[in-house]
Amino acid sequence: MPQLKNTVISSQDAGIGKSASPQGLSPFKVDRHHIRSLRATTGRIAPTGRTNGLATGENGTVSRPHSQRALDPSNAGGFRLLPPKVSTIPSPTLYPTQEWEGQVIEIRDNDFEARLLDVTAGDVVDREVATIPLEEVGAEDRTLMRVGSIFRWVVGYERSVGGTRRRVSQFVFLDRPRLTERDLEKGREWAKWLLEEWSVD
Amino acid sequence: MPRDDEVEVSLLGPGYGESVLVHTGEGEWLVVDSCLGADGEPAALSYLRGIDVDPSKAVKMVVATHWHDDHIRGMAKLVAACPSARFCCAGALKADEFLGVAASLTKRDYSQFGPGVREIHAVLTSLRRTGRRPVWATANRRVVRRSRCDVWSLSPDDAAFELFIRSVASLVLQSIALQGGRHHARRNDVSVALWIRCGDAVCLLGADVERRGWTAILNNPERPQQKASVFKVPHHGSSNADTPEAWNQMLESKPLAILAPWRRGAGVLPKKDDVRRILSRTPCAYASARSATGAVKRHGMVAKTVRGAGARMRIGLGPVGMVRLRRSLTNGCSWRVDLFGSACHLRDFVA
Repeated sequence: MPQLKNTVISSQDAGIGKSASPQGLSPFKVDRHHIRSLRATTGRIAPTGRTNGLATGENGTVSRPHSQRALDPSNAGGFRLLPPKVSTIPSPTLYPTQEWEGQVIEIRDNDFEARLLDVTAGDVVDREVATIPLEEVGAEDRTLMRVGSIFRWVVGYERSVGGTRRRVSQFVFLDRPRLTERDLEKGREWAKWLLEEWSVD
Repeated sequence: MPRDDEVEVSLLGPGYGESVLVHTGEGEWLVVDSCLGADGEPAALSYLRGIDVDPSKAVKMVVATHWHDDHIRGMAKLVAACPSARFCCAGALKADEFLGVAASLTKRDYSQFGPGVREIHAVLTSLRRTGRRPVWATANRRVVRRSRCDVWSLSPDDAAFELFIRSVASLVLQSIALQGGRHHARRNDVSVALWIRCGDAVCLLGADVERRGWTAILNNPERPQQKASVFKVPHHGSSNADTPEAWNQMLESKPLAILAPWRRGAGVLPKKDDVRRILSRTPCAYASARSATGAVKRHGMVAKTVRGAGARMRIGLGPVGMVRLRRSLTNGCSWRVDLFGSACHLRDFVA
């Protein structure tokens, strides 16, 4: 799980294409811009247990992985890691009661349908299907929504800085990277490895 | 457990996905496709272990008819648990165009929702590492030859192979152009239909072969000619796989028809018309599961919030149901049908 609280990437150095391969971290990559933008819209989320797909940071921030930049304290790969930075801006905190990982299976004019894996219950099979109004998904996430795309759905309580508690439902869609020529090349290498053994049939 | 001289054909399905098990006699099994139970285990393994059959010794062949996730979920686990089994899949999957894309997409899939390509990738990697060579299914190839059991793959033919390669090229273009979405290659061009003879009993397993594929099968004079008494209805009973000539030329009169339902989004198979059509061809038709109904009970606050958001939830994947057919290998007697879980006669299936 990315340790979002303790690591900040210098925006000067966080160049595109300098990603490192994280070890022991979620494969989802995070950048500060996303963290901030999500804080602005969602506040903080208190930690929960298991997380899959979209990452939940130690301070509870739900974050969307970024396709081009990596966060890896052990192997910065060219990034300059700055000391921990403590936000002085108070923000509301979300306490999740229920989390699902979903996959969009159909998008209609006003709603979409998704298969859901109950992450809170620790399910290993997506047993549920939900029909969800499109208006429940934020504008930024709507741009990422396609048939087949993956999202996290969190239902819980949000406690404001003033202590007020309210129920919230929140969707965060996964920003999946495009397939690159390098991916295809690696795929071709794997195919060659397979077929050198099996080509004589 | 079936007797050594009994043949069994069991269709398992939880409402989305299917797996067929065939006892070919003398304690040997063939598993065609894979689906998961609620515990995340391949349903075929759970069934075999439940009747005291050791899959590591008894399963002699595992077939992946195609790579769509309603046929292949848990396949890697299944193949790993059956080291005595040969793995069979469409020869078209050997095309390096497909393999390259499969590997590329697998690398880009970070979620627990794995596409079929991830299973295929895991299976082939595991086979290569353990020195096991797949059996490549093509039109009219005998993939199993035993004294009392023959298994023939009837498809895919060369034309299907070409269509498949074109769809793979399109998949690559989508993958490069689109950010985010998973790519649904829904075509069933290279699905593997199987003709299985065990003693006197013949079964035709239609996989998801669609009409074009059936036409090619019917037009091939080299296919096995003995008519089948059991038909796994292709493509979940969909009209796009319905070929009256296949019923007339490849099946006995009023065969036992079995199918696994499918549901995705608003789409349900079989539809009401499909049910009517199949029942008009044979009164002996069974589904592995009724439509799943109901919803998971939730914490009051969660239920209230979900309702407040205007979302509606339902069970998409029910418990695994099973249609089990058994008969003697040799004496020409009729099949005995047993239904388990939510399996039902097709007339009771609600689309």
